[in-house]
Amino acid sequence: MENSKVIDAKTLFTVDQEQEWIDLAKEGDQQAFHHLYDSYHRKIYALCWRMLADKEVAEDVCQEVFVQLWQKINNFRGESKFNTWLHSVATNTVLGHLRKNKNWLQRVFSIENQTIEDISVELTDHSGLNELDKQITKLPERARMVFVLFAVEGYRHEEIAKMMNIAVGSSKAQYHRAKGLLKEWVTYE
Amino acid sequence: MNSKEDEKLNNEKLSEQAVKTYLKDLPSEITPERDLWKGIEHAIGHKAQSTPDNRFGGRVTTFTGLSWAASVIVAVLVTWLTLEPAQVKSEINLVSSMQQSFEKQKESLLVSFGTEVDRVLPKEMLEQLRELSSARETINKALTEDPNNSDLINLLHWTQQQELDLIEQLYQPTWQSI
Repeated sequence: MENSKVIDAKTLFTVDQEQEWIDLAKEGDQQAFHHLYDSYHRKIYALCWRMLADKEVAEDVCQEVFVQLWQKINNFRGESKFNTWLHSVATNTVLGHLRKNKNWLQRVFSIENQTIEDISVELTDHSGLNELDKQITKLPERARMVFVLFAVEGYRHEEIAKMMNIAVGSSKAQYHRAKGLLKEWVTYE
Repeated sequence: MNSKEDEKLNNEKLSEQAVKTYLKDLPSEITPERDLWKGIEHAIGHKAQSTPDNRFGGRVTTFTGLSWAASVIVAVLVTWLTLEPAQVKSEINLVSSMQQSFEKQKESLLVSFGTEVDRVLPKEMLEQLRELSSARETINKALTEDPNNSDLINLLHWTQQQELDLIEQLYQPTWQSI
């Protein structure tokens, strides 16, 4: 009982402190923004890394997310949790990055730009990563995105379909494709 | 036969369980190898924050060039269409695929604005969007008359790209200074 009181107080303090940083960052306080970066950049980097499957690109996009956050923070009105709002900013930034970096033929014909074999060749230094993380990076791009958004980030297929501009059925199919491949890989590798 | 099926089922269950367990243990955080803050600090030092009522305030100037581009396209097309005779009418899958893909991308970008788009965008930007959109329509019309014209196809692609880039800039500033 005592313990739960301590946790509540701590949580309350964190929420209050975070709100203060958000308010200060909205006024242009870079130090307060740095506190927000410190609290969230590892989570956002994990999201970028899993969705992009490339360390350097993920680092660049993670930076882009925080620059976007700085510019858009005044649009955060507290209607959802800051963490949830930030994750949606990050997801949109990653998807925007992928859109920008596809050539026009890939855009026109929706060609997946990487095959499983292509991605496997890119894998170099993933030591120290969770086993599933290692396997996620091997998934084909669209299957990987859907898997990360659904299974890791907790979005619904309807939301994923809207974000990725695909049919709800395609989102479900890509998820099952990803899960099937992962099941195969974690069993036999 | 039965034992083989049982084994397959067992393996299926094991791998399903393994994925679930790994998923449960997936860390919510990964630490990047390099210090990302330096680049961010540098970038935000040069970028103004938007306010809810003035989300696009700093970006108006970047559209002047696009406005010119849209006007040039319209001018080129008017000249072109008066000189070029109508030719063979045939369906071109490439053009319709390009158009479909473009509409999808445009729709997905505009989802971010919801129904607010006309209200939140400054007049100049709306005007430029309309000009590009009208140029694209004209090119499409020209392509129905002359479907095999590769210059027109290239022009259509370029115009679509300009329109997408313009929309994208409205809510996603370019990443240049890091």
